[in-house]
Amino acid sequence: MTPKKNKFVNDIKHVSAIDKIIHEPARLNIMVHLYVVESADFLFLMRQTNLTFGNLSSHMSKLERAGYIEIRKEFIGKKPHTMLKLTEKGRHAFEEYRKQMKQFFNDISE
Amino acid sequence: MIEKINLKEMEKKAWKSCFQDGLWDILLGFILLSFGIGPFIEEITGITYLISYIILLSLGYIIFYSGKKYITLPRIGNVKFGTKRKYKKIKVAIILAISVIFGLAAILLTQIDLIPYNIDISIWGIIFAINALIVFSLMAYYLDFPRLYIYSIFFATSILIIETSSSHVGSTYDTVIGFGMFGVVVLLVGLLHLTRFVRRYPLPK
Repeated sequence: MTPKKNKFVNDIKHVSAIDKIIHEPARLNIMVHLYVVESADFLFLMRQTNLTFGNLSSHMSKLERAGYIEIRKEFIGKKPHTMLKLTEKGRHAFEEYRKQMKQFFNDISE
Repeated sequence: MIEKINLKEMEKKAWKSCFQDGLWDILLGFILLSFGIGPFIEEITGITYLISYIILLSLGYIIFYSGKKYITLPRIGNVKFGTKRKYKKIKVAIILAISVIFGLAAILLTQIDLIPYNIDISIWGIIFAINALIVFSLMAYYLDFPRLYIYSIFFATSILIIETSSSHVGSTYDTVIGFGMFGVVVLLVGLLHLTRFVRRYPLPK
């Protein structure tokens, strides 16, 4: 394989290694907001991310299935309350994602 | 670098959302008002100023906590911040404690005549004004709450107004003019923010 082709294959590998679960804009938005705080409830995330109830709910479930967020449901009085928190796995995955994206854009600029 | 700034900005935006309801301003307004109109209430009703302080301060705290519980939380939800913010809050508590100790020590030393009260009263005014300016500015810095910088100037100016107007209007009306006037201004700023907040964030259906 020529050096040029080899570089191309490596670049493609970089792109395909990017975490698709985090890469989706709405989920990235949720991950970023949870990354900068300790925990937040459903309403707070809805306000900060500008996502609708249904959208946030479905992306939340995907992130929970991937083990990136922890969802704690409780009752305050008679009202249901949902607290969300990034898991260690999620925090690590997000940091890895940032590194990969940085690397990817550095490669493009070269 | 850009990424770093954005994450910081995100955290700051989330943090600042806690102050956009104006409830902190309302609480501070009540604190200033309690200092301002306490002696005036005592003069017209005979109720000792300490009782009116306690009533106004309690009213401020009740409005603050009820507002957070029944207005803010149902509209923007709840968030817990990381350790950096917790440390900053501890720093604010330490600054406030030092300021209170400084104030109490100054009063105590004056009471037991270690510091003669009549040496030059305006020096005390300047010292307390600078103390207020430093304390509120540090709080504004650590809490990322820029309006507190303006309130630090309000607080310091109030003290200086009291010192300079005392000989003209007497020791009751000087506090009404100083703390009372700025207390009303801060209270109005808080109410304005609260109104904007309620309009911007209606209750979710």
